[in-house]
Parts: sequence; structure tokens; C-alpha cells
Amino acid sequence: MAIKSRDRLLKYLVAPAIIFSFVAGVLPMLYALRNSFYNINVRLPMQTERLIGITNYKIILGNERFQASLRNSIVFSLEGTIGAVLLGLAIALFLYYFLRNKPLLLTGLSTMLLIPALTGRISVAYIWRLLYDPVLGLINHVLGLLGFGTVEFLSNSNIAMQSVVFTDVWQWSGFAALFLYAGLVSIPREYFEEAQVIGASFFQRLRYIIIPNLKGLLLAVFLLKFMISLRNFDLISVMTGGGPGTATETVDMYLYWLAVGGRGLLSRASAGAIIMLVITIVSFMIIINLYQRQKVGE
Amino acid sequence: MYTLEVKNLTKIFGEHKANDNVSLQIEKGEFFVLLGPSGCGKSTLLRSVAGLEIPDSGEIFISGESVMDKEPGERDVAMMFQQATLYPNMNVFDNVAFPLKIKGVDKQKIEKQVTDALELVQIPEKRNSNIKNLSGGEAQRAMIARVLVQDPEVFLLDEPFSSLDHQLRVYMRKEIMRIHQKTGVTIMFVTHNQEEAMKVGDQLAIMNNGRIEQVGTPAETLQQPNNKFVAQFIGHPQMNFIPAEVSEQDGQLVLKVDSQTYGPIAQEDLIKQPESTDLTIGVRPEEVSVEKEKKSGEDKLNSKVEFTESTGANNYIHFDLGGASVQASVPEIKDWDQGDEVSVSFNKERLKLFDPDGERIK
Ligand SMILES: Nc1ncnc2c1ncn2[C@@H]1O[C@H](COP(=O)(O)OP(=O)(O)O)[C@@H](O)[C@H]1O
Ligand SMILES: [Mg+2]
Repeated sequence: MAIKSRDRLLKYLVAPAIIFSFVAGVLPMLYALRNSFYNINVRLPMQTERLIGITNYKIILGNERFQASLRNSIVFSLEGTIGAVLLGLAIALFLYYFLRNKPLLLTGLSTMLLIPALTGRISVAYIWRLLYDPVLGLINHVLGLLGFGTVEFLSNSNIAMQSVVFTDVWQWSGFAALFLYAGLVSIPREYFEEAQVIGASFFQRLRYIIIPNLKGLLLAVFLLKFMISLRNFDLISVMTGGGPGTATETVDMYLYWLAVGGRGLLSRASAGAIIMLVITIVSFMIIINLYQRQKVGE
Repeated sequence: MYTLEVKNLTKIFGEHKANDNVSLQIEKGEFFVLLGPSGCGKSTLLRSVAGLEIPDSGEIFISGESVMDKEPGERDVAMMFQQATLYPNMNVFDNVAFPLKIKGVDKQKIEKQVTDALELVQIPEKRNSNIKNLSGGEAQRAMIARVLVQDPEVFLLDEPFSSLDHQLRVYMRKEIMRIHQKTGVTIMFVTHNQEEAMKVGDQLAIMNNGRIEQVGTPAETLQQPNNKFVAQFIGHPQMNFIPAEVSEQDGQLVLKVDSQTYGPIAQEDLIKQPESTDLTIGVRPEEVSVEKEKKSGEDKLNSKVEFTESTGANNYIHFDLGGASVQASVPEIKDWDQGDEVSVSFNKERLKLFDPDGERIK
């Protein structure tokens, strides 16, 4: 009896959160899904709404600029995520091997590592746009002192994307490092000492002890960073505005341009958003599945 | 040439000397036991031998060669830690195979050696088991197998069975002795359990406060303890210690307990002359004989029974002598009651005397 009433209480307590996420998250998505089958154009408010089936999907999937933006989104998210996780792991290993017994230094460095992640993305974008600047930027200044020519980090379409990815990795690898460091210190020390007596090299330890013991955490950090990467609109908008040309334009930016900035094609943009949503959900399902399987294996 | 030799090793943590000028030698094939209470520095010594701690001074030789400049992996030792260190991400086979894989041994050889080792520790059927599904004893066996495949000069075992329940511990103790006899390996075995140490060891080193108090066979340490610490640490039930005042009469020593006298003790039985009059008599419960009713004589001391105790197999009576509680073994518990007069004598030949520093002088 007591348990039953507590269960009921629990339901009441959880209800607002569920209702809120439904209203704030699911409803707009359903609305976008509906819109994607219509012919809504915000520039032509007087046009009668008409159901046009999957036409929007056909058109947008065939659109080269959409395809390019999809490629850019994937490149940005994957490179940024893998980069941040790997660099994070490297930093975590450095902290573990060299600073574990120096608490003061460790605390100081941890704080510094967190600062980029705590800084707003817009601020980070402005800071790096300035750093990359061919004329005023610190990086080019240093390159100049070293005798190199000016590099157009953000306006050379061959390297603009990598420059933006680098900024993203810079912002998040410290954050990833702190998670992974916490994981490292939770691996029993005897595992390492056992390996030491056996005579395992650093890379053997990494392969046989560290990676297997951190697998769950690595996947979790990967997932978290991937989610952060998918929301890239602010960073890229400020740094390059999607340029030069459309070299760094991601799906978010293209769809925004399509619906708001350019031609007012709200329905077509909705179709693009739904496609992106499906891709995101599928890739998350794969990662979460991997994560679960790893959990079961433990 | 010793298989393992430690010379004047000192290891300091902050202000605390965990190992204080420790020296010991272990012969090839010996089952050497390092015994001492918790916190006395046993693990520190073992870890220094393995290369996991860097000593502040002293030297370690393995097969006659100094290993001070060698990494743990290059020292030709295998270590079994106090804590379970089987890797949860590998099954039993992979755990045992791990050291071989690291050394780059080829697959077929690994297969054979691991199979043999699992046979030897008698868990061949567990080869594909997940570590999580092993019982305590099986996990210990897997760890022993992993140490065995490394085929080192010295096996370092740090309280390998202390986490097991009593029965299993006794069983695993026999197992390690069986494996030792079968393979003839050199073992340095750490324990804080004196009973375990006495049973398994060829040689015993008794450690206290970072120092080695005595090295010897189990019988030697039991019968000829260097000092009071060893005497009270070794043997069960514990030795009785009775404060006594010594005086000389006609060139012989006489001991005064309370106001009673005990003696004489022949001068030639002494290892060295007492430097103080305050000594401690050490006598094991089996070496105390008791008779009912008061008797007087040179070798008799009188007291009253305080309480009686029976373990089922052995019976003891307790009484006070010189302010110390003394335990004596008796054949029949029903003969004794609280308050009974008791006349006590000691096996004089076995009786020990300790000076105020704890050093044995007889
Ligand atoms: N890494 C360390 N830092 C500081 N003190 C330590 C460290 N390792 C051991 N000690 C101290 O050294 C003493 C001996 O420890 P240890 O060798 O583990 O004892 P045992 O194995 O005999 O129980 C203990 O007092 C312990 O607290
Ligand atoms: Mg210990």
C-alpha cells in the first residue's frame, strides 16, 4: 500500500518534466514534420497552404548545397568529437603520469582546462576569429616571426573547416580530459603496478589496461561531445558565416538560410531538419547501443 | 650466490622509516616467509624488491646481480599483490596469458604454458570464465597461475590469502606448498599470520617497525627467539611474560617474583650478563606446571587461580604472578576452580629471560 502510493507520488512528481519536454521538444518536432509535407514559404504569407507529399524531401536531398552542408556537418562533428576525445585522453594521461602526486599543480591546471568549456561559444568564436586574423591575429604574427607567410585560416576554403574544427577541439578537449582523468584515477593502481612488474610498455598498458577500463567512459564522453558538436550554429556563424562560399556551411546554417535568411522556404527547411533528425537519432542509437553492450560486458 | 639478497635497505615515507636497514638472503628454491604485524613494512620491502618503490639506501641483488638500475619489468621477478589484480576486461585464459603476450611469446607456446599452469592450479575448466564469476579461491588460483607462467627467479607473494576465509586459506596454503614442492621455485611470501608462516616457511624473517628482528627456521624462532617481540609474536598460545627482579647469591642468579624467590639460574645458561636487575621471565603455557595446594621450595611460586578456560582440545588456568596474568596448560579442567591455591613451577631449561630492552639473555 505504502509502496503503491509512493509510486503514484513519483508519477505526479515526474509528470511536469514529461509534459514540459513534450511541449518544448516533441510538439515543435511534430509541427516541423507536418510542415515538411506542405508548401509553406514565409516570404509568401498569402499563398494557400497545400499538401505536396514528399516533394520537399526529394528536392532537398537532390540539392548539392544541402549535400555539401550535410558533409560539412558530419566532418565538423566527427572530427571535432574524435579530436577532442583523443586530445582529451592524451591530456588526461599526461596529468595522470606526471601530475597525479602534485595536487596544487593539478588543481590549477584542471581549472585552466575547464575555462574554454565554460566560456560561451560566441566568445570563443570571436576570440579565435581574432587569433586567426591574417592582419591582427596572434597566430599569424608568430608565424611571421618564424619566417612563415600569412595563412588565411578562415578565408582559405581548403583549410577553413579544419581551422574551425581546431577551435572546437581546443574548446572541448580540456573538458573531456577532466572526465577521462577521473576515469583513470579510478582504475585500481595495482592494475598498473601488475603491468609494470610484468614489463608492459606504455602502449601495451594503454591498449590492454587503460582503453578497456575506460571504454564506457570514452563512449560517454564521445556521446556528450557529439551532442555538443551537432549544435554548431553559433560557433561557425561567428567564425566564418559558413564561408568562404559555402565551405564551412553546416546543415543548421543552410536550413536557416533556406527558411529565414534567403528564400523563405520553411517547408523545405523542415524536411531538411527532419532528415538531420533521423540521421542524428540513428547515429545516437548506434553509439548508445555500443555503450550498453559495453556495460553488459563489464 | 643467493637468488635474492637485500643489503641494508632503508625506505622512508616522510618521517616514517617503513624499512630500516633491512638485510636478508634467500637461497634458490627456498620458501622464505616475511612475517610481521600489519604496517611493519612487509609490503614496502616486497615492492622495493619488485622495483615499485625506490629505496632511500641499500641494495638489492637478484642472482648475484644488482637490480637497482633495472625497471620492475626487467628484474625477473613476478609479484602477486595483496589486492586482486586480475583484469576484469580479460577472461581467465587471457589474464594468465597476459605476461606471455607482453613478452611476445608465440601463440602456440602461450596456449601450452597457460593450459599447463591452469592444470597445476587445478582450474582448467575455468579457462574461459569471466573474472567476475570466479570464487575467491579460484581467483587466487588464477593469480598464482599468472605468476607461474612468468617463470621468474623469485616469486613475490604479498599476503596472497589474507582475503580468504579461514578454511579456504588453510587449503590454499597447502596448495601453494604443493606447487612449491612440485616446481622448486624460490618464493618470498609475506604474511601477518604467524600460524601460516610457521606452516609454510623454510625460513622465517620476523619484522617489526621496519626492522628484521630475527631470521631462522620456524623451530629456531619458536625455541630461540632473539627478543621479547619475537617470543610473543611466534607460537600459540602466547608466551607468558612475568616481571622479575634478579639478584646474585653465591655466584648464581636468583629471581624475585612478588616477594617469592625462584632459582637459582646457572650462570653458564646465560647468553650474556644482565645489565639491569629488572628482567622479564618468558615461559610458554606448556612449560608451566601446576600443582594444587601451597608448596614451598626453590622452584615453586604460589598463586591463586583467577579463571579457567577450555578450548575443547586444550585446557588452561589463569593466575597472577608479579602483576602479570599467567596462563598454564592443565590436563583436566574440572580439577580446577576459581580461588584454588596453585603451586607453579617452570621448565627451567626452556625458560627465557629478557632484559629491559627486550633482548633475550637466557
Ligand atoms: N606510499 C606510501 N606513502 C606513505 N606511507 C606509506 C606508503 N606505503 C606505506 N606506507 C607506510 O609505511 C608503513 C609500512 O607499510 P606496509 O609496507 O604496507 O606495511 P605492511 O605490508 O607490513 O602492512 C605503514 O606505516 C604505511 O602507512
Ligand atoms: Mg602489506
